[in-house]
Amino acid sequence: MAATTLVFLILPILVVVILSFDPRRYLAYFPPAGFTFKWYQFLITSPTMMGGLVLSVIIATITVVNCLVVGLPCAYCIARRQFRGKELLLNFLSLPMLIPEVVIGISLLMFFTRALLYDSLTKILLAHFLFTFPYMLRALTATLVGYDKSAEEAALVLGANQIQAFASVVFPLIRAGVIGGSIFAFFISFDNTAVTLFLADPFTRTLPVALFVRLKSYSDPVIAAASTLLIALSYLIIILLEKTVGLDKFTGIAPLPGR
Amino acid sequence: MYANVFKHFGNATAVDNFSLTVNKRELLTLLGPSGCGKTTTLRMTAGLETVDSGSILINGKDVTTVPIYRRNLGMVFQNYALFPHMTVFDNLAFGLKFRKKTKNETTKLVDEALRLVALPGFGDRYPRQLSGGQQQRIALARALVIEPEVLLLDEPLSNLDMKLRRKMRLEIRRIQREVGITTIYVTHDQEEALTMSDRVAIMNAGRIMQVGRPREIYQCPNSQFVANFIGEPNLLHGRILSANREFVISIDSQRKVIAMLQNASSEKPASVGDSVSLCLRPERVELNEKSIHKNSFAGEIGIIEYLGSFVRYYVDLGRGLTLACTRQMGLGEPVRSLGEKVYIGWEPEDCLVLPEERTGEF
Amino acid sequence: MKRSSWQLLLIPGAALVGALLVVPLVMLADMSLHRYVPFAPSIVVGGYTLDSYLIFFNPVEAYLRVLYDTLAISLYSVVLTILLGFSIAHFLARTKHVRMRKLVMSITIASFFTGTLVRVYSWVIMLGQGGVVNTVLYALGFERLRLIGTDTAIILGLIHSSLSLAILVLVGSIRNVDPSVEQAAWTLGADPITTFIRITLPLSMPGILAAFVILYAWDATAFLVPMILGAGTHLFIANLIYDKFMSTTNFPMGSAISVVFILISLLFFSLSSALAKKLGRTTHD
Repeated sequence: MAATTLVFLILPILVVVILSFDPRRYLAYFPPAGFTFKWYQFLITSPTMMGGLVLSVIIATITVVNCLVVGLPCAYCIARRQFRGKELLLNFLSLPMLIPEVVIGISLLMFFTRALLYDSLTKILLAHFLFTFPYMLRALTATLVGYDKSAEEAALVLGANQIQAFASVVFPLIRAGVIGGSIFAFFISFDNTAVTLFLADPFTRTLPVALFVRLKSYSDPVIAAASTLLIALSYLIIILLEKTVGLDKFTGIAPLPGR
Repeated sequence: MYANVFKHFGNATAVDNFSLTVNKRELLTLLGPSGCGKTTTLRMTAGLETVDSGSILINGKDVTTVPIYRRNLGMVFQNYALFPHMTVFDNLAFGLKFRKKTKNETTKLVDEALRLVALPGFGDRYPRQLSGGQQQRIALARALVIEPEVLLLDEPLSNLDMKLRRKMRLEIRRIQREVGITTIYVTHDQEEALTMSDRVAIMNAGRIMQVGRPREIYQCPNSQFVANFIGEPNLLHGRILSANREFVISIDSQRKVIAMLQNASSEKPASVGDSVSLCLRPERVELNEKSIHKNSFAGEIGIIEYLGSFVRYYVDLGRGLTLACTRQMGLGEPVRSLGEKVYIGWEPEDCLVLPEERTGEF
Repeated sequence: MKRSSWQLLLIPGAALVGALLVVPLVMLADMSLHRYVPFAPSIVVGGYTLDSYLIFFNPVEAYLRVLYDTLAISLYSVVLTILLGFSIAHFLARTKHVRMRKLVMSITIASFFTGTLVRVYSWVIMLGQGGVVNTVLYALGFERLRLIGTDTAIILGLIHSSLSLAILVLVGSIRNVDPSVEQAAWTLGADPITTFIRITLPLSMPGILAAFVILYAWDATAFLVPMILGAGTHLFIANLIYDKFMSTTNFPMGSAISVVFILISLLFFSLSSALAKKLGRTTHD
């Protein structure tokens, strides 16, 4: 059964990859009618697409950094200290996960308009922070709860203050979780379509939005080509991850509610 | 009964040509340091590990290829492995479900098992409500309630504190005797092995070093490894100078030890020039003001360890040689002090000649 | 560090989320309570009214239908996802073949990283008139099926998009089941299947429940999948809201629907949290 499931998982994507080489202009007919690189060429030479890619990467990176900066201290407190309303706080900070992207997009649009914030990029960054934060927070909390505290205590006893202990002892231990959480968050931000759609303007189109917009007019294999590239990219990241951090550590990061 | 069992993990041989017969109703302990293969052997017996070659027979039946759940064995795990989501009663009844017992029979057997481990009436509790010792006993009960052919225990006492461990040792032994079940016990604690077992098999690097009753093993170890593992002996290394009516062994340029010919153990007889280890138990040496014994050396007391009921003296004999001597308190012997000059001595029959460890033979 | 100063660390997070989340939501709620003004959506007119809510809950209108669709289809999808995900998760948690595990893990994670848009379109290709399934069917002599626009298509899309997430969550909880407990069951006479049903499954319940909640939230708030694969036949809440805001510009209505949905989600979430806590107590020492 596991094997069939795996096939199920891979098959559609495989199909997409295959069809990205299809020369016909209408995407959706299966057996490909030929082989061509022209869609890839189009992608790479299209300013909208490449611009979108660059923008997506930039936004995702900034978002990850934001989430880390704000999230790490939060996760630390939640993981290591007891205080009243801790559960409540964790749930509150996870709320964005529950709300449909459409709602987030629209409500933020209303909010920003009222607040007279018109800069698209800022709006997008703030929004991305909002819905990525819960995932990052949970991943970080899970990691911080899990590591062996005695190494940190040893450092403190030896004379390091809290910050030094954190930097030299704790951080290397949690690095895997932090990296995992960051990659997770990066993806969430990178992939986001709905929210960004509401807040973007024609000059700030992320890749998913650019693709979405294009899709409404043409249904050609460009999207297949774009997907194939992204898939290749993610495999590369995975290989990198495996060499540096080890894939097994990844399984600790999935967020769990009710904890 | 194990016949020529082999087991490999990758390049490492975990169990090397293991052959042993365990007698009915006896408690046999597999004793050895970590990584010696004792746990692997136990797990192979249970079926939790596969056997690479060789066979395992229970009551004459070859079970080497029989799957775990059909072997009819009882096993107690190191961490007890009780089912946390079931009550004690359900934990015990679990194994019975596969043996087609009626509800009444099950209840009766479970109650009996609980009585056997001295925890009657605990049926409704959950494992998390029990103390370590209680969980252990329930694990034992669970293994026994199914009336298995063999009972296997994998270091069951290692998670308990000292006092509890001592108490549980006696309990387990009592229960084992009462039920009369053939038992294989794995531990790295020699005290456990010595006090509980009918026989002990000492293992190292996947092989059996020696098998025998606890007393035999302690008093007549067949190798330096075994001697070292059981108790805390003094080990002197030397070379045989002559072997006419008795051994004369030189331990360094000026000192010699005399040992009995009969006290050598090895397959091949020893000859002049061989390197040997002398095993000398600290309780067999004496401290005196004068040189009394046939083997006697002068020295100074360097360290004194006071252990409550006995005292251990470390006597420095010069040129890097130190011997330990333990004396019981309260036997009328004077308590000595640091720096005191004494003669440490023993008779030839009190020491054992063993092959030097490198070759294992003379 | 002083005694209570570490609490300051929480402030940026709470403040940002608070500002970005609470304020807009309050505005949303506020909007939902006002009257619908055609052609001037964001202008607030008149006093407070429950008009939009009344329309929503009126069985004559189709709104409740959408809610039902969303919840029901998501339910099917989540159950299937958990079933499928469990099979892979169990393999990942228990297998001793390191290479296989890493391979399967890479596939799972890579699948996770494929974007939603891509995924949805891949299913369009699979299920479309000229797509994989139909091509195969036709070649075998069967009629082509109209698959896009059915709830099956949506379910398939949802399963595919949440499967990797399910696997990642479930692996953790299966790992938490002590293998020696399973081994103990084996030694007592339980064959692997019985052990799975009576021991492994009950003990992984907390993880399964957690997966259920996460997946349900993920699926029920889906936007692209129902939009494209559902092709307008089965609207999800997210689509409905989008439509209200963008097409008919009925802001109060859109807001009202959002508020209702959020409240339902919160209710569901707290119920399952409570259940998870209760379960957690019986399955752990």
